[in-house]
Amino acid sequence: MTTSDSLSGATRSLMTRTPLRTIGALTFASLSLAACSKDALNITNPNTPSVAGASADPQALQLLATGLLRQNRNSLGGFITETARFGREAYVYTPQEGRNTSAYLIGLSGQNKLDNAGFAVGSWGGPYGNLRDVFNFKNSVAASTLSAEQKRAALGFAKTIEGIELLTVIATRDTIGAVVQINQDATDIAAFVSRDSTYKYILNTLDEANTDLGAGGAAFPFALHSGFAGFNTPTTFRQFNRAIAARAAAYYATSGGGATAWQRSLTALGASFLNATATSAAQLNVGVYHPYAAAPDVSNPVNATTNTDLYAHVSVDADAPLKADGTKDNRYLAKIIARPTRNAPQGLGIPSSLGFGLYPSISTPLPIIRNEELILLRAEGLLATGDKAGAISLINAIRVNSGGLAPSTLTAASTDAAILTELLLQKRYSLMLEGKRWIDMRRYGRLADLPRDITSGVNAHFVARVQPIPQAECLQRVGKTGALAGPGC
Amino acid sequence: MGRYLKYVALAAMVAVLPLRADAQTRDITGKVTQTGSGISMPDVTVSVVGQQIGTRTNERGEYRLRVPTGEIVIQARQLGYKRLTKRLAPNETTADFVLEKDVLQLEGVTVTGQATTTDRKVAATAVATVSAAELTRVPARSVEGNLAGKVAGARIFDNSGAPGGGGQVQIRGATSVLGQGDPLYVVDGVIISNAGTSSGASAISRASGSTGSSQDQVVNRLADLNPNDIENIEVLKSAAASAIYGSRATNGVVVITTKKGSSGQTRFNVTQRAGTQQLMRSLGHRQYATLNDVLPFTGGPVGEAAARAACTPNCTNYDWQGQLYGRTDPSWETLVSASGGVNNTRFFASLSDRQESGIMINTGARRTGGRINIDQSIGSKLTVSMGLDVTRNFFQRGLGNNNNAGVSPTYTFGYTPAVIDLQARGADGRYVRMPFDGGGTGTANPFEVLNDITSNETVFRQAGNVRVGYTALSTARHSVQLSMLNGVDRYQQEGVQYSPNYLQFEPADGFLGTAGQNNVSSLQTNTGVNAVWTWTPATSLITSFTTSVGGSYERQAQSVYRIRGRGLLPTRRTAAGAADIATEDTRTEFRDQSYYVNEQMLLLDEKLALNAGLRADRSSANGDRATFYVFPKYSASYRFVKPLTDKIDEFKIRGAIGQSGNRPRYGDRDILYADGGIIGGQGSLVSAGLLGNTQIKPEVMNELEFGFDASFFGSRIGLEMTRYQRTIKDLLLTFPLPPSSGLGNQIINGGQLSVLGSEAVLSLVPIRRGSFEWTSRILFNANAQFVNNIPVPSFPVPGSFGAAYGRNRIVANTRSTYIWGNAPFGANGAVRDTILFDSNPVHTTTFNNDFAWKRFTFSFLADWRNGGYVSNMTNNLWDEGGQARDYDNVAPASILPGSRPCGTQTLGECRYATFNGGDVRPYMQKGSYVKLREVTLNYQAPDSWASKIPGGKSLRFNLSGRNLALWTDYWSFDPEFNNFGNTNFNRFIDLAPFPSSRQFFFSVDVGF
Repeated sequence: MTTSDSLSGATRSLMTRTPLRTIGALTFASLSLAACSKDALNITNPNTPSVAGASADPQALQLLATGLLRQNRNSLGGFITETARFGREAYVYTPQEGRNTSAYLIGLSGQNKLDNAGFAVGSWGGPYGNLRDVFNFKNSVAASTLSAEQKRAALGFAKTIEGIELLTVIATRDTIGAVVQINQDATDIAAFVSRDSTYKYILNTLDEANTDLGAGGAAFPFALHSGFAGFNTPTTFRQFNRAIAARAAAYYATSGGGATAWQRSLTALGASFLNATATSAAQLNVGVYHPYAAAPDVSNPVNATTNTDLYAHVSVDADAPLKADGTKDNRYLAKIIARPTRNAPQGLGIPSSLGFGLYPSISTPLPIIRNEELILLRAEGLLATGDKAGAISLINAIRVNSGGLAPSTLTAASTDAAILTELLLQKRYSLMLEGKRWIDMRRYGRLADLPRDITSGVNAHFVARVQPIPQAECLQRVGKTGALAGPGC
Repeated sequence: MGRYLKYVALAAMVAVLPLRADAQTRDITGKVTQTGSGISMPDVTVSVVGQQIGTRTNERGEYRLRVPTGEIVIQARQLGYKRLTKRLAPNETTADFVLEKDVLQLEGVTVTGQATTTDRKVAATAVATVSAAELTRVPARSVEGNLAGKVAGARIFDNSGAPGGGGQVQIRGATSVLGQGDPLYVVDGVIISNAGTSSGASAISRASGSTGSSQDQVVNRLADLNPNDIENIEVLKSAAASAIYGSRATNGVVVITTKKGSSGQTRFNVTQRAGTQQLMRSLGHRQYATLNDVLPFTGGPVGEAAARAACTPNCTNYDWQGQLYGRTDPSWETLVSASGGVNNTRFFASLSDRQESGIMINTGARRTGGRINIDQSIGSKLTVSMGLDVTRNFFQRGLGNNNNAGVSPTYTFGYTPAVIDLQARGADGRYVRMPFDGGGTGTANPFEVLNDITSNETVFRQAGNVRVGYTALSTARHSVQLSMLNGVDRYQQEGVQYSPNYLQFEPADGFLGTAGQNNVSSLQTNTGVNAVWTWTPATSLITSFTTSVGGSYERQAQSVYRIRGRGLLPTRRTAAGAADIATEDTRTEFRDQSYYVNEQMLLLDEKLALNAGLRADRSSANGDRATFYVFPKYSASYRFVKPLTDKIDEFKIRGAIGQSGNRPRYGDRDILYADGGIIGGQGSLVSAGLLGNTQIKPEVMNELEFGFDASFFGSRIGLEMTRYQRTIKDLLLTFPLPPSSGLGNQIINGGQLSVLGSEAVLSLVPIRRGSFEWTSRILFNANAQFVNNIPVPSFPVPGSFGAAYGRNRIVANTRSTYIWGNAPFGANGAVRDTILFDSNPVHTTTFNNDFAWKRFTFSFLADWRNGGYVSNMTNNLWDEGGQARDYDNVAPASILPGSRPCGTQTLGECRYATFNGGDVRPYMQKGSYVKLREVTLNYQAPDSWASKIPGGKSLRFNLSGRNLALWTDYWSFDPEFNNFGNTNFNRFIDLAPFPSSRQFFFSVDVGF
């Protein structure tokens, strides 16, 4: 541009219209941009469904309902493999990674404590992720155009899932307690509540769900996956709900709930799909499952085909009851397979050559709850409420029908402790690798009975009582007081 | 100057007469030459001061200009030379000019707005302009290579030595943790994409992800630009300078102007280059004498048998790197350009073809393109300019960097003793298998891999612009210019990967053969409208007022589609039908609107310059799309002419304060569901772990800059000093949510980074005697970068390998460039993640020297980087694999003072054992170096030589080299390199990169 050295030789004289033309020009420039309305900026993200956009889709409810089941299934594998290690059912012997053993069986050096920033902090983020979805699902249902009946059915479904997830959390954290509140604003940190309050909340939620399902009409406004065959209407789903309630009440009973809780458990069992006279494997296996499949679905996380790092605890062999002919229990024969001998690296564990064959293929379903557990839960309830004969009768039924064993030698004169020992043995083999052993042993104060493979030296094993609150949770509670601080942090 | 200059008589009149010649005119003719050498200067603009009359000199420096009768002042100017004016009496018809080099860069104009510029001498912010001559002195792979060492305040580093380019430009430090870190690139008003998108090499190397990752030797798209088309590059550094680009400007703006045509006969220029390249430095390899030395590294019975065969009785040591990286095949470059103008039309057109051979077998790059720029005057008030650039860019970069398949050569060599001939072929005609364990999950013979795989990238790019200018008013005192600009930049990138199923490493993943197809398509458009009113009262109080207003609308869309198949039928190169298929299909789009107003005042005989402006932006990326975010700027400068003493020609103080922004990333604003996956054949929706933020807004940088520019001793010495302080607030961060909320993280704005830095440019003419002239420019650059506060727990910057390997951490009240990593800490020696070193160099200083003597010019550019630690994972791999060249050397008592004692271990053993004990420091190595980046010798042949070529008018010979020498104690190839390509932080991870090479060129340049 030219500045001071400009000469006026060929230029015309200054026109009087200059200011007008200038203003005109500036106006032109401004107006030509006015065409750019802000609507041009309203573009939607094509990669991932937005909450606002997808919620308006007619398919949304179905996708969200399926999401609750998918999320629930996501946590199942980790829950089983973690609790199986604590409960000395299984090892995870990854060739290069010793922490899959040490983080569960040894803990931080010298302290017998699990590392809250380490491996053994599962059954927390997963369940709470699904509880967030339950929260969102309930809101979606409330805002939907479903009929009153359909809304009740949908709520009953969601609350049942809520109960299942919270039961996973409290069963692994026990005396630490848990968080039961999901806040709309995720930065609004929710308080911890005690174990007692958590169980009460769970049972209450499951009971509400039961009531809702009762008023839920003939069908859900969405389809449930094939694992719910026989339990996929509000009426039949209630039997599933009651089965979960029975388990929750039984857990509560041994965690401070006492006789009342046992009664609630027995009552719930009465309304569940319990078939105490089951004799065949098929009858014992009636229940609700999560299905698995090849990609794009996922494999059964504890299947025998691809999960070759999963080994059975060596004690499963020695402890297996014997049949009349001296051979091992049918459950052992059906569920345990031979594997090439393996150990954890660096002498962190002991060698095992036993694997699990009970989920043979990548598409074998995993049970959420099934009849065999209900029979054993009733045995627990009867024993706890003084009906020893009833309990022994159910224990014997399981021994005969599931294990191929002779009835036990227990009688009504046997001590409660002796009957409980037998009951826990039956639970161990009947519900092997279903996430029960460690929790049961803790419920009855018998963790000390679990075998420790290495008892001395730097690699001495210990038995964890509870899983820690993850460090990520604790970090959010630094500086908080009272219930917000987190008792386990 | 008083030197004798030989003028050649004007033989041919080259200028075409103006169409509307009127009777009241005369013609001025003349010639423009350089001082000293007397060499004629083409492309000099000769114009009548104060009038819209001008032309350019031809290749012999001659011009003809039709001017009005009467006394006139004419001026000759070219970027890089001092302008010269001559007053011509009414009867004078010739005017010759002898131009002097503008060593101190006092001339030229600098960008101040979307449609405004100001003379550099009154600029109120630090200016960095690089002219065509300076830029293309020595050919580089891509423009950032041409720029390296030429811009004070910019750190420009190559990411790897792979052919075709790929480098990072960081101006005045990192301004963002998660947001955009690259400058904005604007070519002739068109905002172009510098995206770097993987072409999918990870499908083969399995470095990260299943289809592509940032570790794939990614090429950033600046590589598509032909540097020879560039007239000049201006780098806007401070927020006050870059605020005109609003919410995309915190990282600076690189304004590129391409060459334009000039009136006159069409002139052609042909340049032919031939070159070659060689490995700059080899890592060396541990030498083996006997079988027993090799046995620990054989990795099993197969390796043991091979070692036994190779080492009986004694081992032969092979130079695998020399063989694999020893390719010296010629590189070629052909450049043809034409420029001219007829009547009211002026044009510049160019064609180029650049073929680069890589030093690694089966690698190379080829860029072929053409550009045409047309300026058309319609009547006296309307001008239309158009530009179109079409490029095909092809890359064959082989494999490098991290890998998990045993295919990255430098990675694999680090684990395998070089005692067998890997180029040998077996009875089946195939390469011998690598008998030793390659360290990763797979093992391969890199010679076979590089010969037999396909890993190609092809880019087709088209960029164009149309500018319409209208002179609404033009009087002695007032001018009003209206302009409208439309720009488009589009490219299609195709990445093809194929690894045949017979390759040794293929069975490792359970599938034989890998095929990948990667398509990236990008479209960017921008539209701008500007109105500029210049009021020139030409009084001594007020020289001029320039007021501009305008606005723009910009759009950038990119889509990426990838498919990768593993488990192929033999010879099948497509993913269809593969046993295991992975896909990616993502799209992003930004739309931005802006308005601006800008006022520029020149007062007190051009001594005082005052500038102020506002830019308001809104973007589809912001949470609130309707709100405009406003970025103001203010700057001022005052010139003292010959203050104190005559020795000081001029002293200018300047100060500027400004604000610019960095918009959120795509999707940060969106509250999304995640794809929950399939169960029982049904799809599902679940909450996304990362929660978007509907209130997200741009990061905001405030910058205060002040400095002075001075020239001494009749422009023999020039000094520019600049100090800046920038603070960046409202950082884009991910805030961790309590897991019990059911969500993982939320995107938030918060926290503050800051950078405090200095830049200096010292320009000198140490010797000017006769036709000999030595000019020198020294650029100095230092800064300190801090995290002032963050509203989240401290966190490692994403995109690194973790504490065991060192990375930057964002921790309040600490330097953001500190490298944190594992080391024993305190009395008990417990391993902690702690501050180890600073990745930021103490300073970077560049020495530019030009020597001109008669028809010869010789230049070199040496870059000195002092400090800046590098995480040398290459050394780590080579020690773990036991193959480091100095592995057997005697170790000191401990690698570092106070670190683990070495005892009887060798150097390599001790380095690795120290690392393995949780101490990463042996591999944190100082990245200081001096690099001879550019050397060039130029000979301008006499015109009599040129005329021997039919039609030839000028002739030049050039011999040049790039990266000819590197002086450093650094262990690996080049401390500039980064495994992850362009990154805001963590830009110091050296992990088995493609090695750097020396490049040599000979070129002949003929003008017709």
